[in-house]
Amino acid sequence: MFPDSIQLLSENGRKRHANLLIIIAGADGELVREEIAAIESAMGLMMIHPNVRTELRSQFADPIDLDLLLKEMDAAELRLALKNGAIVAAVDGEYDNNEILLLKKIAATAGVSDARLKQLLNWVRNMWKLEAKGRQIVGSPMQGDDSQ
Amino acid sequence: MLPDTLHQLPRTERFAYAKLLAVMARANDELTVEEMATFEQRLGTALLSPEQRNQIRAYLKSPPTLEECLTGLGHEAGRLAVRDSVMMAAADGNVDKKEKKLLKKIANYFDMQDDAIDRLLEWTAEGYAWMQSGVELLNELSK
Repeated sequence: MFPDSIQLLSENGRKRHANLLIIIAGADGELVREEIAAIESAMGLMMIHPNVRTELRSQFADPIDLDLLLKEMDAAELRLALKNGAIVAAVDGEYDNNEILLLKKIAATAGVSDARLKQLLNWVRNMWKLEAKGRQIVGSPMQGDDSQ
Repeated sequence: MLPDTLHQLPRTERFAYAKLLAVMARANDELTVEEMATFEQRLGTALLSPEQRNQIRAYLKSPPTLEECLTGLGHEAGRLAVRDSVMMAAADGNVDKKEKKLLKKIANYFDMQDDAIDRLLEWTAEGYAWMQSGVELLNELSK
């Protein structure tokens, strides 16, 4: 993924962002390697301190409470997390029902309509095409790139 | 954040990939916050262990030689390192002559097409524009 503005969040804001991504990644009941790579990628991009990353990794198996977390986040943080959450939820190839329900819940808390959420999910689909193009240039295709 | 082929490579290849990224990060003796964030992002995507990441970060202070990095680095990992080095070098909005020269040298080593770096730079510009459209979408969501 291309760099983003998430490194501009406050230290606590970055932790909350990572926490929410962990919850979203685990929404379908399991964390696959691609999802872990996506979370590690986001933690790296946010330049979270290595010790804090260790703390956050402990939540892979035991995520914090979603409702409490949502209450702590303001609308701007929620919308940024919704955008990156939509990307993380897509990494295993498709949106699972639980992931969609969770994204809808976050969207509703952030004041984002279902129609806008749909727009966001389409935006993520275009990202797949762009990433596939980059792999094609360096000759490192992955399964599914041809259909992009 | 979307899946890539990088994390599928053997761990030794991923480490060698990151080592080359460290050399590229120091190509113009200046490491901006944006480049550093992209560097850390790629280390995360590569799923290196915390210990390996510390080793790679140490290379930022005393980088290995380019020859040392290229020896034993497979073509796929090398080409992915070229792609991600372009992305990292462009993160601060400017790829200088020194960086571009080094990128072309590495691309040549991995038998990439002559226009590969230019194409990757175009692709990177497209990617940053795409990210900007995501930010704009967020702003629309805020209305």
